[in-house]
Amino acid sequence: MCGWSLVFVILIGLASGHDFRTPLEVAGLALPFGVCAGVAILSLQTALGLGNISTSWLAVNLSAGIPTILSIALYKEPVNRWKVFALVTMAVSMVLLWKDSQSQKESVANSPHE
Amino acid sequence: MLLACISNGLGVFGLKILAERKLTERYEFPYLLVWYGGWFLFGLAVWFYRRFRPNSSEVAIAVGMGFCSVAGQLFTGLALSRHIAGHIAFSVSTGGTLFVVALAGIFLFRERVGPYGLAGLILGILSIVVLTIA
Repeated sequence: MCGWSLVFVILIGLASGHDFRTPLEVAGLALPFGVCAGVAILSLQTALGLGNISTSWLAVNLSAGIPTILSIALYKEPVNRWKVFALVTMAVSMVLLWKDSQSQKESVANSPHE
Repeated sequence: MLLACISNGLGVFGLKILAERKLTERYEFPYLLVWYGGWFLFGLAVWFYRRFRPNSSEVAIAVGMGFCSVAGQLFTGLALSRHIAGHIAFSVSTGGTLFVVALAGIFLFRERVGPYGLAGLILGILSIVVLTIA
C-alpha cells in the first residue's frame, strides 16, 4: 500500500509539474512522521486480527485528539469548550470500545464448546 | 490498538509543524513525497524482517488502498483550495470515512457490535466531528 501510494504521488507530481526538490529541513520533518504512519497501519493490521474493523478504525481515527493536544501544549493554541468536550468524548468513546472488546471476549469464553 | 492510535496521531502532526514554520504553501508536495517515502521505507524494513510473498488479490487491494490514500489527500486539498471551509472538508472526510467503514463492518462483514461498542462508535464519530468544527 505504502509503495503504491508513493508511486501515485510521484505520478501526480510528474503530471502536474511539481518541483521534486526537497529541502533537508522538510525531508527531516516528513521522514519520521511518515515512519509513524507506517507504524500506525501495521499496528492497525495487527489489531484487526483481534477485533472488528468498525471499532478498530474508529480507535485509530480517535488519534485526531493527539495533534490537538500537542498543538495546545507546544504551540499554545487556544482551547475552547468544544475542544475540551471533544477530547473528553473521545476518552469516553475509547473506554466504551475497550469495554465492548472485553465483553465480546467474555462472551466467547463463556460460550459452550462445540 | 493504542500504538496505532498514537502513531497515527503523530503521523499527521508533521503537517502542523510544517505550517507553523510557514513552509506549507511552498513545500506541501515535497513533504507529502518524503512522508510517503518514510512510510515506504518502514514497510520495506518490515518486509526484510518478515519476508512474505503477496498474492495477486493482496496486490490488487494494496493498489486500491494506495490510490484511495493519495486521492483522499488530494481531494481534501482540492476542496480546501476551492474555498470549502476547513471544518466542512475535514468533518466530511474524517466523519464520513468513519461512518462508511463502521457501516461496512456491520453490514458487509456482519460484525457484531455490542451496546458498548455502538455507544462508543456514535460518541467517537461525534467527538471527531466536533473536534474538526471546534
